[in-house]
Amino acid sequence: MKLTCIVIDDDIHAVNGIKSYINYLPNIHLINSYTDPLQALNEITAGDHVDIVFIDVDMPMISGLELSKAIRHKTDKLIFTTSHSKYAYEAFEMNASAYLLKPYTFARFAETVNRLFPLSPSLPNVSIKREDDYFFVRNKNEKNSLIKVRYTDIVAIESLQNYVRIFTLNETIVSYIALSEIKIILKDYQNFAQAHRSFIIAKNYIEKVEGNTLKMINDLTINIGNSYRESIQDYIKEKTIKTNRS
Amino acid sequence: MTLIAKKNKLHKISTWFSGKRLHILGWTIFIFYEAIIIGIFVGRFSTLSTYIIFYSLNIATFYFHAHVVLAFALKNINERWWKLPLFILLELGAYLILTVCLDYIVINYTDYNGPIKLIFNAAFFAAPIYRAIYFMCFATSYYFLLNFLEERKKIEDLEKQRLNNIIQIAKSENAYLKAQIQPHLLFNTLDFIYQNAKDSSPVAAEAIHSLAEMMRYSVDSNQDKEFILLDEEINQVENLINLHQLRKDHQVQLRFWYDDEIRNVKIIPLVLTTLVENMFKHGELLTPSHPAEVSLNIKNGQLTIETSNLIKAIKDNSGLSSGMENIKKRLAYTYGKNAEFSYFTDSNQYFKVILVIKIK
Repeated sequence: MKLTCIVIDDDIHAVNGIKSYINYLPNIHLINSYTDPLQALNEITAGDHVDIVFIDVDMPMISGLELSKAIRHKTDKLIFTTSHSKYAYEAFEMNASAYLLKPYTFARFAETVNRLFPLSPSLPNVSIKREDDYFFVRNKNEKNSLIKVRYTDIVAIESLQNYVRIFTLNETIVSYIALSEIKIILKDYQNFAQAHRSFIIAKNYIEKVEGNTLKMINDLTINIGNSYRESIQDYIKEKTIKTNRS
Repeated sequence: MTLIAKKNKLHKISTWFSGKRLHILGWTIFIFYEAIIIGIFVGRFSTLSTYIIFYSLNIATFYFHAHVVLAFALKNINERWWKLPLFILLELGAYLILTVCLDYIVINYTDYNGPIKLIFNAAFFAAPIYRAIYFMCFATSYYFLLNFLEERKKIEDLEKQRLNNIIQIAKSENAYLKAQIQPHLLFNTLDFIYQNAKDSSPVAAEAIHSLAEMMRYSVDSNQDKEFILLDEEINQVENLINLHQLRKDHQVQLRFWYDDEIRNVKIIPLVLTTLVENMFKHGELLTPSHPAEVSLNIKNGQLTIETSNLIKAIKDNSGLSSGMENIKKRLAYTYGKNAEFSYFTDSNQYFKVILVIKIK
């Protein structure tokens, strides 16, 4: 079942922004949006119970704070969207489930919704045919042209805030996808493992292990993150030839 | 006298003694050395009353010379040349007169039966003059030692004062920035631009987002707090790197290593951000074969921050050393010996910074 939601913000551009985010998420359905807080108050109190209300804190006539108190019983979760500082937010958080500081990215929006509804995670649609041995991504360095990436060519993938850098045997591709999406694409391939908070590596391209760092075939050096150390070490141990002499 | 008054007086005396502990100890050792050791060597001791009387005189001379004679004689630079010799001569004269009087008392009114007689010849005066000059020399070094310590304390105080001023200026600059534009208007406007740009020009939208995050950090700022979570500095650095990546078309070769658990470590503000800002300002970060690195590590309660980057061929060291000096001082101010901060250029033209802080 889809989550139902309502958006209240006196700025039309802000409403449009959040609408576009909601459209990206397949499991959220927008019931209605309001730029007039008084109309919102009347219609919401008379309407059905919803799952989420996104509400701007700073609005004319009736503040988001007052409005939120009046409609709190009509919604499961209440998310403030605000341009105020996070400290201002802390003062009125008692009614709210979460807050989004403007301007916020789609990633932050999706992460907040997923945190509040962990049972129905709403990941953007990443569809990929498993039988192919390649996928296409948009390459930022070449004016967003689509470029083919073969799984067997991937040496490592680095996550950088909103995009990833894919190191293949021959080139480096910068693309606007999240590491979490890449993980979905790669999840059926045993050869890939996370080595660091921001790095996924192809295990067969590890050339050298020196203490806590991995040296890859393309001279890329990667520090192993604390939480990933064990699984990487297990893999290396498994592949190490043991002799009686050492 | 009431009991309380008595107690108060006792207390006063005891604090006076504990305050002069070092002096008392010094004189005890000195007198022990002079009287007992030399007495044993020479095989001759004087009477107790003689010791008490003459050591009182000598100790008094010592303090009088340091705190009165030198203090007044050297006070005015222009009058030094005649005041100093005059005062010393007067002091010497007074010392001799007192010695004669005391000798008279010792010989006639105590059980003294030593070799000294009141005969006014050169031999009689030689010993007291020697003693007087001897103690005056001691007093002179004592005077300069005191002066030196006082100077040093003054310099330290000045330095502290200067540091406080820097902090105050930073705080007020911050407040000034905050006051210039209403944050609410700023972020609403940035949000407006962001929403309008994100479909037509995602790169512009992303840059605005990173910029907004950085602005929010300085507006919301915890920077006037003594300690903040490393989390805040890490986010700020991520945004800074992201902005530079966008502007340089993702060609910036800088890797930022840390594990998420380090975000909860507390540190003084503006150290990590300043170090990374310096890298962008002075480092050559666009050469793929020479990537720059920032790494954060915590091990056994010891936080290590390391940066390393190739130096720009054309040197622009303006402001570098003052920024580094500022960090160094703020670290010393808060952590003292628990922080070790070093930076250097290695033989491969890499500029490296290593900061180790023991976190309590």
